[in-house]
Amino acid sequence: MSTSIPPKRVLPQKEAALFRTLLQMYETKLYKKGVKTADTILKKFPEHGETLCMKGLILHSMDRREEGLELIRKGVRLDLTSHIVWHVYGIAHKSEKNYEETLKCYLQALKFDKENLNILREAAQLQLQLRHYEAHVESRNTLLRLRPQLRQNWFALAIAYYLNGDDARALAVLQQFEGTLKNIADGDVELSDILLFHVKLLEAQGDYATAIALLEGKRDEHRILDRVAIRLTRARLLGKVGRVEDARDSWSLLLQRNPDSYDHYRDYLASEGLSLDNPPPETKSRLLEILDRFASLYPRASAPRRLALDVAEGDTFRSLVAPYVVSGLRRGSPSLFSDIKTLYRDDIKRAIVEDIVLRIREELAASNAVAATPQEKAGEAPTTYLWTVYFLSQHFSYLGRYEKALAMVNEAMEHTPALPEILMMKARILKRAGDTFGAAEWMEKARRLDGQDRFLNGKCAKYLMRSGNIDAANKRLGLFTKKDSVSPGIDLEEMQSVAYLQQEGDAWLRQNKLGRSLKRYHNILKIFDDFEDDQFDFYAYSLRKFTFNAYLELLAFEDRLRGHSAYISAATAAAKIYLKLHDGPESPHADDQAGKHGRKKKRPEASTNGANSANGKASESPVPSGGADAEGRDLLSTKEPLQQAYSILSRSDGLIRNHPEFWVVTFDVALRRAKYLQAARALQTAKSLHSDDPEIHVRVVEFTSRDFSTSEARVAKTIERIASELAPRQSLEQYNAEYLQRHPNNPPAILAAARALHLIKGAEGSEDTRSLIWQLLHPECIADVKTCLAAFAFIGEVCGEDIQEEFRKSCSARFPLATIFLRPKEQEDRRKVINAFTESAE
Amino acid sequence: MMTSETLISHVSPTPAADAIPIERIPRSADWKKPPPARITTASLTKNNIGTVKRINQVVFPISYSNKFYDESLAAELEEFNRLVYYNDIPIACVCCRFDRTTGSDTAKLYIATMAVLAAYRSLTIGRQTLALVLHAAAAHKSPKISVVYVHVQVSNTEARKFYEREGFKVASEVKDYYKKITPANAWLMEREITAEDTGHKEGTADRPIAV
Repeated sequence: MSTSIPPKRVLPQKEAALFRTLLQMYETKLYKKGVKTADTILKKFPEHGETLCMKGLILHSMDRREEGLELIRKGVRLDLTSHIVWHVYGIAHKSEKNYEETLKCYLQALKFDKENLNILREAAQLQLQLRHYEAHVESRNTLLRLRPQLRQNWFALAIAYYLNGDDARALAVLQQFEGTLKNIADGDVELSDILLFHVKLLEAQGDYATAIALLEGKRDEHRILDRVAIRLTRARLLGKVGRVEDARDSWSLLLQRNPDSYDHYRDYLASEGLSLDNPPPETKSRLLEILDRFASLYPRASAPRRLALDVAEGDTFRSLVAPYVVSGLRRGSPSLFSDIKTLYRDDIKRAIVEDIVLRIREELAASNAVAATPQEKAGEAPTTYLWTVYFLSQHFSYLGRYEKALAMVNEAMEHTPALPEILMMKARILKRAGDTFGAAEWMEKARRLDGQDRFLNGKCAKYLMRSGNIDAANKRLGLFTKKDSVSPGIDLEEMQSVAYLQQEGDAWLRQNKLGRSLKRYHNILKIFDDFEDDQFDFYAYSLRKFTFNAYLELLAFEDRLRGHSAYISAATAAAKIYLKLHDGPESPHADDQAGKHGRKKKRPEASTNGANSANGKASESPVPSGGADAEGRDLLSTKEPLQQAYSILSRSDGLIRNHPEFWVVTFDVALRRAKYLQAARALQTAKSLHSDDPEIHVRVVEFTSRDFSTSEARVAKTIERIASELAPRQSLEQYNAEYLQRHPNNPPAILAAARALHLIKGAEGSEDTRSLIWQLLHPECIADVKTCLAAFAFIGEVCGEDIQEEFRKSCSARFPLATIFLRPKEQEDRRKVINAFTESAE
Repeated sequence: MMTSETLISHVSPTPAADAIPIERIPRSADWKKPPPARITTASLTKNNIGTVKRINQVVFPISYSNKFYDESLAAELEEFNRLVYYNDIPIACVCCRFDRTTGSDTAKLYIATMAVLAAYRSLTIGRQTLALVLHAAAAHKSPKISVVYVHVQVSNTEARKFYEREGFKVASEVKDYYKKITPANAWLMEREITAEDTGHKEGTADRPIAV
């Protein structure tokens, strides 16, 4: 407590008592009474800062934010040396999640009340939230000094040192702490966690021998209780310290406990000096031998058998994969294909699997046809046949052979017509083949088989979103969301369903409803902000519950949060919309054009028509989802779309997971903001990560074909240098041709080359561009629907409508199943049919 | 169907002789042998009625109205109207209704539809399903059920044989029973509920149905 209290703060006894009640009223949320009490004090002492602040804080909590803040500020000014006013000011900031300001206020409060435990604790928590590790160490030191008898303060200090990178001090704290422990009860879980952390620290320092000694000692004393953790850590440490034999025994023991853990096999093999990742040929027989030994040792485990498939080749592979596949088919494991398909990276293995499963189907089909009782003849349950054709439909769909896949799935459906998996598979094949409407229809049919299945329901909604039946999709989702919620969308938003928000955002984007779409992407970004805030409370929790190891994992996760792919996808999608807003101001004919080019635009340059949410609104039924301003007009009306895009992108971390798209959009934004150096750096990064990515190729050409001489001389020079490193400016055409030669039959690369050519030669090269695009439809090129759709939009801009129409017809012929090459009007009709179909359900 | 020659030329990197026929691939080696077929049943609800519709659609030449399915959901029929699963895959279903005798608390049980998907026949599934229905009929108190009957299209000798095996007898041939399909005549087959039906459960079927 401060030594001299300024006279203006002192209240007479009666008012002082009132002030204490006032504090209690705030704590117990008796806000109205609190305001009255404060007013009673203020009547006599209108200049009493602390009371003013308390009144302000209560008003602030009562949704009268501005008024409250005003009072608090006034109170602070009147009594600058009171810890209460600063604390109150901090609390107000904290409730607005403004952590930096909160911390400043708390530190100010601590100046006047150095040993206030509450404020100290909160300050420490804030320092972690803001990653002020050094200051955090100080706070924890103070806390420990004030309350050394509390166990958590010791451990918290060790963690603080650890986070600050000071492992040696962290160890010292732990050792000192452990030395003081006496009379510990058996089964002390908290201590067990502390000891494990201690071992982890020793390991991080490279002191393996001590770590093992501590681990074994405490294990024998029954102080460390997590047996699995003991075994895992011990095995790992033994390997690191070079006790190979012991390590091997430890891993075998772990395998005995869980013979299906891929990781344990990897570790075991490592202790034998072997590796499963690209093993040298001479080690393969040894690997197979060991895996085979485990397979016979653990007859019910599938991991050693599956791992052997990665290693084996040729005839060995054939003899191993056949029983593996057949066992899966007989058991009726729907996930068999996803398990197997990773082997398809090897073409020979793929062919062998295909051969085997086709053969099985043939045998089963033959015995089916001949014998009245198939199971008697072949000894097979009828479901083996079902799962066999199911597998084949997945197989062919994966390889892009959709007609064949459909034939297989139809065969399965004839055999067992009421199994949802089969109908879902049909929907999936149609989706991949570009028939979004058929896909939605079959997914809805699958959903009707089992109204209780939320997974099916979600899938169905997703497919309806894709076919543009957004209303119907939301209705489906409503079957499982909270009944008292305003709309399914609002409930899902509250539940932080990123998948839903992304799907709906994409769906609106396809219909060129940019505002609604943008709104959804911003919802996602907001969810990640919430994730960031969530870690705040977890610190206090982990202090109380001693879950520090989990807390450290959370911190690591949070540090990489802005690189999460869901975040990056939403951020890039939102930035692209802002680019559209910048490139194509809203035109009065938005609706006509939306009809013509209304499909999803992949590239921001493709945008010629801004969206017009106001126009869009008239033609659609009001959608209840999304809350206030669901159409996102606020977002659309921004004066500085590029600034918005930039600020979104700059908060993301594109380096954590290499998203080429992120760098491409960053480049696009920087270029339009005339930040050429930024653009150049984005391109450099992108190229170092994905040198041959088609989108990046287009940007490289776009960048190097520009003239930067108007820039400031010094900058221009640097840009010139980077540009010349990216591509030869004098012979861009040849550079482009070489790129094409490297990827002769790769559809996205062909499209990229065509776009680059257009950038280099402009209108005069349109004939060459056109013929390049037509290469996509060449029989040798395994074109995909997505690329052709992008090419369709592109060629319309370059060569005009007639040629675009010609290309559309060719695409329709090339992809007979696809509906996305239908005319917009035809698509609209199909969409209505689907809508009517979904409504016929109830 | 693909012949083995085209197959080899397309995909097989090794001679076809190396291929292992499925029956020679060890089945009951101790590794992950498939569990014995498990047959379970569930009562009809508004959530799974779509599955019943789809099975009936495939098995019967006539389609039933929504009203028919709505009535099948009645609580009093729960024990008679079942959806049957083979290893968790829906493959059969049965829908019945009461044919009440006016003035007394007795009724005949009418099997309106009983369907087993073609690929799953001859596995005693139909027999077990019927046994379940008969058992429920014997145990039913109000109304008390004395007789079970069913219509079989006169061309469907397979079904007739099936019901005869289960103790049904042709009581009569109903002229022009079906409106939209030929032959339009149907056999009316009947079976009385006996004391033995009460104690069925383990007796008649090879594998008892788990309810």
